Amino acid sequence: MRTEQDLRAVLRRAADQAAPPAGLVGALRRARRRRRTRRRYQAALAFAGVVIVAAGGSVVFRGGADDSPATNTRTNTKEVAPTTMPDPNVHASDRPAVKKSRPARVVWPQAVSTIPAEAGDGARYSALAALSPTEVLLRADKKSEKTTRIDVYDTRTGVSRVLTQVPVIGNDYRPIRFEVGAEYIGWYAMTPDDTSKGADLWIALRAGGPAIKVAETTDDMPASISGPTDEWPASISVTADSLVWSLFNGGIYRVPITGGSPEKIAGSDGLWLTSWPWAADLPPYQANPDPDHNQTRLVNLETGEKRDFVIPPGVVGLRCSTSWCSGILGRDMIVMRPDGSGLSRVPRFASFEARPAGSHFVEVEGTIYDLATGTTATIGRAKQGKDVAYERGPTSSPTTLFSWEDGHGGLEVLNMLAVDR
Amino acid sequence: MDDTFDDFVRARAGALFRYGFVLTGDPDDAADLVQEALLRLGDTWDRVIRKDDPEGYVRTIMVRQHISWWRRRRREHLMAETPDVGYTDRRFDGDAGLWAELEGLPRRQRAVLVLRYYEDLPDTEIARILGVSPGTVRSQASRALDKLRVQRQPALMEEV
Repeated sequence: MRTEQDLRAVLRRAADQAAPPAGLVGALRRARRRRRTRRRYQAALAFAGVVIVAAGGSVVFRGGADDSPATNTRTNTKEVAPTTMPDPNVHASDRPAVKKSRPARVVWPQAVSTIPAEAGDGARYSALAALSPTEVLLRADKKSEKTTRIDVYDTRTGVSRVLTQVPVIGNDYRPIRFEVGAEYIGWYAMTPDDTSKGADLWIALRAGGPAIKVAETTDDMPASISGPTDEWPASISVTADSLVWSLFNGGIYRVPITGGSPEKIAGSDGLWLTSWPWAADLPPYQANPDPDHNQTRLVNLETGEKRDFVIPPGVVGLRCSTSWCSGILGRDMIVMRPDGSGLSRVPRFASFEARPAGSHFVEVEGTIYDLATGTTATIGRAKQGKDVAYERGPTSSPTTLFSWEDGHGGLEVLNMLAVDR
Repeated sequence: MDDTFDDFVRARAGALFRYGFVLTGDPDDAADLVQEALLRLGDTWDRVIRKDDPEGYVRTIMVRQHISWWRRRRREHLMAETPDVGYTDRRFDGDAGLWAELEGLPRRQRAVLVLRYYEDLPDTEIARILGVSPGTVRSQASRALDKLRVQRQPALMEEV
């Protein structure tokens, strides 16, 4: 007969002999990142882009004057490949701090319009993207008939036209992210809760016409590995003849608009589309597991050109377009050109919630910051208490259209293509 | 938040893994259990470090998880791939027979034994952790000890 002491001894001995796997801590860290990313991604899908932030958010707005031009604005838009490191002895110049900003309608009156919240037939509008400085793309949902179409609304004339009817296949199947090309618009649609399936990729002519499904992302896609969301698109683009997308795990694929087999773009492992033809070595915000991680390069998928960025010491979360970079240094946002020139700090404006918008803006919890001029403006409508609500147009490349309720039954839209006019 | 959480993970992952191993009897399952429990701890870290003892919290998550969905999920896998009893014979330096017999216990009974004889917890605390009555703890322990042919020593059990 055994004793309780025997049992104690066996359990302790077993524990003593159990060697923890060497990679446990690292595996946990990776798992936590994946989990955060997927939650963020799924939340983004679930809430269709509605953003609610406390007024002022977690960003500290204090001191300085707003709307002053940046100290290091360069007007030369020619792209320069970086060749030199910034001199570590040269400190970033200070830009004016962002204090209480004025509403976008006041700062950029030419870019803010009020549009009806509903189409003539009662379909509910939500803002998708800017097509031009005066035309916006809207989704028109008729819940009673379970139909969704895409309309183009001219903010100058107030006239709308139907661009296409969005096919809805089954419950909860819906378009997720859109992209505007020169001749086509593209989008991907899926059933977000059904992680066993990938997404369908659709296009329609900007001039109007039927929606055409050009590809599906499935488990059979090359290089789609481990986990249901890995087959989901992270970003899409529409070129003159192709629909292009990157998967959650990176890698970029292309299919001709006329149909055919998707093919992986050579050398695209570890890259994600930003805006065609550019791809970054960092996933887009909604798919990025590590907000600290710096983007280090952009690759031109048409020409193969690579642009490596000069990353100042201590900077995290660096994001660059071909013309501007923003990142975080301590409690400050830093702004610079991709070649490291014009490095400047925006005091106490650091936020991991900063997202690129338009061609040269960042959006930080309801404040739009112009990287070129330092001008700021607020968007959104104050809800109960101090919460401010707005929506980001669900495009794959930086948002070109923000929207919020105007409080009188209409929608206000900020068209980022009209800001510089 | 992440700094203190990372510190905790680095400092305690080994001990938690060993606890997972005595609970599950399998190193892979122990690693899965620790990882899943630490992920859940990470989600609530700010609250837990303010109010609770994180180690106690994560151990409670581990044992509850082991008893509930996690164990069910893994069972098919274990049935298919667990090697013969030689696995423990080869690896275990001690009463390999007793260690192997623990594998045959229902998961709740095994958990009660681990909490009582490895964690040295009183039955009332075991009852709280498992969300059952102290009477259930005693009856589960008694059945498990009978199966393992372990003689109960009253003097040692009255530590509550």
